Amino acid sequence: MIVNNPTSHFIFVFPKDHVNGEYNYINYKGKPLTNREYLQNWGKWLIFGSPEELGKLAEKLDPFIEAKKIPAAKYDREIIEEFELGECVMCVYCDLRQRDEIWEILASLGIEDKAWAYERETMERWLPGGHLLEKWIKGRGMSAEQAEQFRLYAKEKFRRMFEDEDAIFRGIEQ
Amino acid sequence: MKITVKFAAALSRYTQSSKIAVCDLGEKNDMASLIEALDAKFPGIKKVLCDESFEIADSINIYVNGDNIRYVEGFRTPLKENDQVNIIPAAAAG
Repeated sequence: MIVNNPTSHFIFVFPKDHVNGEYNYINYKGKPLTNREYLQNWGKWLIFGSPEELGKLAEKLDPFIEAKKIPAAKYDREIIEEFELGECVMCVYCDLRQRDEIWEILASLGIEDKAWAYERETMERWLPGGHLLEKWIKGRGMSAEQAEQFRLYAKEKFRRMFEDEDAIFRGIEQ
Repeated sequence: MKITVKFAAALSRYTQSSKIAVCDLGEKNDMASLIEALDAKFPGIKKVLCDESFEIADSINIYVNGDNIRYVEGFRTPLKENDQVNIIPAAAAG
């Protein structure tokens, strides 16, 4: 199911059950991931393109996601100028242990460029000193004091989310 | 050994607008040699990708067959014929 809320920067592709709150797509073989497993194994295939190209790909992925052969995907509604990528990015989410079978599906849909990113990589980049957090702070024109407060907030947020390694992963607070 | 490298659009300013490059590494077979070959083709790109001691730039991700070389052997990552190398800004993984 394509979830296109114009107030969100991202357009998502989720199983309908997930949208209805009856299912969590972050799992491996039906078992929810713990915080430890999430940090070790959860990640995404990265795909670049224009919003139109990624929109067409999302439509092709939708049946695979509905059938739970692929957990979920999201893509940029428009280019994020601050990141200077010049393209939009789609993330096709899955567990490391299923990424090869999911790559086979992507390759069958014509995707050629292969780039896998762990979610933990992304998180490290949003922690103090991380490339994305610092770029985001700079882009917002924050004062030194505001920037430092924001860094402390980000650090504390991640600490709270993952402090119990054996707890079921409950999602990222956005 | 010839290796094909693909660049994300954001890096085209360092590659004379090329999105793809084929590098001949001769007898060499590691990522550091590929970076040197790329720098010969596109002077200055090495400084974008890494520092003098081959530490990968924080703003860059380099993939061999889909795997980020940071999680393999960095610039000592071995290469073989037909490997697929992709270089993208790290921000894409955000």
